[in-house]
Amino acid sequence: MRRTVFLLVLLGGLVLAGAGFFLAAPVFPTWTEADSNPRVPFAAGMFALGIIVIFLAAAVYEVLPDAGSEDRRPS
Amino acid sequence: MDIGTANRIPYGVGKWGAGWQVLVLILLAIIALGLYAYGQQLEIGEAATGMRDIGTGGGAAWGLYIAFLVYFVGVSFAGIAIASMIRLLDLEHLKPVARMAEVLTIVALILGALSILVDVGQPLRALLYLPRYARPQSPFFGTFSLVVSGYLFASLIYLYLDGRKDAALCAQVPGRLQWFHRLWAAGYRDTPEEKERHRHTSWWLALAIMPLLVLAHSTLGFVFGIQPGRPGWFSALQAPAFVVLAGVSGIGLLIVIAAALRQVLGLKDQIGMPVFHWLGSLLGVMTLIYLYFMAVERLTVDYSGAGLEKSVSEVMYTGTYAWLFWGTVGLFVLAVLVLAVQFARRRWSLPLIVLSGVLVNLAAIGKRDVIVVPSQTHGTVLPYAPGVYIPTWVELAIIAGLFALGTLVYVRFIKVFPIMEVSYTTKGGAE
Repeated sequence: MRRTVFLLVLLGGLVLAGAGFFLAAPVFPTWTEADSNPRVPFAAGMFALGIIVIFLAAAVYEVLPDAGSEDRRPS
Repeated sequence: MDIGTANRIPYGVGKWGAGWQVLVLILLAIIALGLYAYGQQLEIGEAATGMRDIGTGGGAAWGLYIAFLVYFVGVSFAGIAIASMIRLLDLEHLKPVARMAEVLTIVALILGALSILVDVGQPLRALLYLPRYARPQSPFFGTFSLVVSGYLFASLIYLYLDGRKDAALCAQVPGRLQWFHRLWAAGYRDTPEEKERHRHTSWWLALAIMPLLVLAHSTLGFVFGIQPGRPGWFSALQAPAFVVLAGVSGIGLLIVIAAALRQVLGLKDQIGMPVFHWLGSLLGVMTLIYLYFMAVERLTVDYSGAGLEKSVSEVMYTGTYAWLFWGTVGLFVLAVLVLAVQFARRRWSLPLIVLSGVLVNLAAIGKRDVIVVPSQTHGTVLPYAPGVYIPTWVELAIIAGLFALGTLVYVRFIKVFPIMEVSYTTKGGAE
């Protein structure tokens, strides 16, 4: 369960960052005015959010307890 | 897992003596002055600062705020770099200063982000337009996304995960902060599974942070280095030099903070001299590398640089900015000499190591000014007369306010959470 959630969050972050990068203004070509605008507004914000989510995955991996593990048993 | 027989949180957590209270009052007064100055800047506009348009306005569009943005982001280097190195290279002897360094990184990055916001005339518009229109391949956005979102968030996660064990220990002590420590611990019980998981996570996190670290500081260098129309900035050395100077200022400040906390919190047994020997040696080597970069850059420009490149150099060597340039070089050289003499004699003195930390930080601030300002006032490609940039009291007060805010956040952290691993209280070393 923990690993599944971790992988989902990590994947979500990667997809968000990747989508943000590719939906932003194109890297190449950049000759016309249209090329300097993002394909989708807030794509750059999506990219930054994706990076944050990728690192959040580390906290998810460590903090969520394993189902049935010793972490869940009362002390 | 037990906090010890005294059943109290070590390192003065939760205890506000008279000295600390006076310090907080002074810091609050400086922050209030900074806020008043910022209010003036918002009301009058950036005309309240010494910044003016390049060329037509006869000044510099980037001034003290950008110089300190580069400084603050540079200082952030030390924390997470040292925390990552401890994890990746098993540098156990540096562990006592790991958390101090991590908190330094986070505080410095917050101050860096605030420096950008005070620099732009319309901060709310900047916050909206940057994520809306920015190009991820732009070094400006790279700095903001990689440094602020990625780097800051990664550092926060690292600090949070690294502190869970201590939070769980502190949560055993009844008191006003117990809820906070419980929240931080998030159910941590120090089981073998949790220990293994933490070891695993922090190793990967450290590995992911290291390239991010180099990227973030290089990106900041690229903001200057890829501008061919600005003599003095356009250089392939900007990015690596920014990384090295970040290391120099960050390690220097970490030395100063570690020595101050060692004295104030009585941590002489826990933070032994070997920690300072190591940091001092690293500081000396990195400062030497930076001086080499400076020499190579100057020689290249002076030997074969174009006319305007040379005119910017002249202003730095013998003109308006000579005091700043030579002062900066002098401080760097003095710091290296102080460290080299100790290294050669194999006898280290803490006050002298701390002095080197202070000297390199003063030099780093000077160097950032030398990087940012002269190329704008004396490096215009169009035929404008040389400009002038003199910071006003508004800029100085805002920068002082930022420093006070950073110090206040750091002090506040020390009073709510152990600034060093709790395991060091009773065992005087690694557990």
